[in-house]
Amino acid sequence: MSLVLDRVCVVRDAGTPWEAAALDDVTLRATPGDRLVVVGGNGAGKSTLAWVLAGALAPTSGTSTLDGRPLVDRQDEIGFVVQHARLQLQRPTIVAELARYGVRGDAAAAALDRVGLRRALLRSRVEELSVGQQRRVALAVALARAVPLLVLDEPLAGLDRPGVAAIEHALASVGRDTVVVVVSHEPGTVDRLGGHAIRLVDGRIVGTG
Amino acid sequence: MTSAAGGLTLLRVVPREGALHRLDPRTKIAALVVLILTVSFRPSWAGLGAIAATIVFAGVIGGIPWSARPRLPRVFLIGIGVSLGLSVIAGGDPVLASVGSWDFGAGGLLAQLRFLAVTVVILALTHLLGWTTSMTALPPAAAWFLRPLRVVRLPVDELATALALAVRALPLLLDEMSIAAMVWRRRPRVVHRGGRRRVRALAVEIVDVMGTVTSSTVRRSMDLGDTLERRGLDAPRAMGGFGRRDLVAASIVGATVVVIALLPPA
Repeated sequence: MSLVLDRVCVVRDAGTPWEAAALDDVTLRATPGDRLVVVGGNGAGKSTLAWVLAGALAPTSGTSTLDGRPLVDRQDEIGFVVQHARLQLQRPTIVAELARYGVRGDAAAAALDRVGLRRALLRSRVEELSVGQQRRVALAVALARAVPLLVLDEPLAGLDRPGVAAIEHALASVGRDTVVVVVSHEPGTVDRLGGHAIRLVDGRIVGTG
Repeated sequence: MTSAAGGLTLLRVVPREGALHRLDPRTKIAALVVLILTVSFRPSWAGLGAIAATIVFAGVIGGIPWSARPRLPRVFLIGIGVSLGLSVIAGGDPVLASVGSWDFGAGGLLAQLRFLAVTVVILALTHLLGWTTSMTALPPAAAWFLRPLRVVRLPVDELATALALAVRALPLLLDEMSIAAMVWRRRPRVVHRGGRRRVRALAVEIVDVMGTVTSSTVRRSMDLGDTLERRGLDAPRAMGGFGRRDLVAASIVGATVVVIALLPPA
């Protein structure tokens, strides 16, 4: 399994006065077990890259593939946690949300264990959860399925210390057959989560390490 | 962080430094209101032509490129075409042709074309304001117009803050809707047997998505409201101040209104 982005460009609002390159000539490769942390400031193109990697956005030019097949054709095989996780939890309760992905009973309880949430929360309404808890539930849903690629957009933003620790722990438990890509505006995320850093500025990769 | 959803260019400032960009937002709001009232009360073809000419002139000197125009979905244009077709069938004087006992007249069509023209003119005027004015400048300008109403104890500042929240919440709402739709497309499909079950399941999903977007937007809007309350509207910086160019613009608008008043009303 290999993830390949080859000379990917994404142009926003093409043909209008607001036309702008959100991603410019981005090339990267990853193999199972790789951990990539994409860092950059506001407007650097991090979220656009996350959407491309998640198959939610087709590049304007260049190719984005997983095992040779376009990422946009493999969306249902890619785990994606958006920053505003509330938008991802579309059923009224956690148990219903997990069930929507076929995760029921003990598996549902285990999914919450994995992200450090109490099993008692299973019957809770999504509305009653804090932002950090909602993000952990969204991660639990993504981790409950065996996916070859997991993309997380700002998973640590605004979380308290226990929340950060829980997500770090959950990501550490991800199998070596999955590529994990974390997008973050905090440079310290690389030290926290480990893996290869990819630094984006104005839609271009300016450094890796 | 900006969302990757993007795509919609609704009421965004055109990144140019045209003459309209430099006008005080209060001048532009006043011009917009005066021209909309004029075209609403006097929607003659000649008047519509005069305002259209003013809009084109403003667009040219404002440096608004043709590429800034909103792209309407094809289904919308088809809907307009169908409705115009139905107007022809509905008839009305003058009668264009008769087939048996059926008269095809242009009366309904002309009335609908006039209504369509008024709508286009009003939308174009609104877009001129949006293309050349930062959304953050509008609430302080609106508060300035409402200021006299403080005498009758109207909560002018609160109204301006509500307006500020509304103009900021609109892009937020669009953004949230596009993310929620993207997430919904990725969710595993549940297969239901039977038409009624399928319809019910679809209805539940629509309610879920709408509830999710509403809940998320309300939460983020509350945060936005708290920030606005702390920072205030930053009125002096948002409004540049009146100058000679505002006087010229007001004169052009005044001349347009006079011309429309003098033109035949039909």
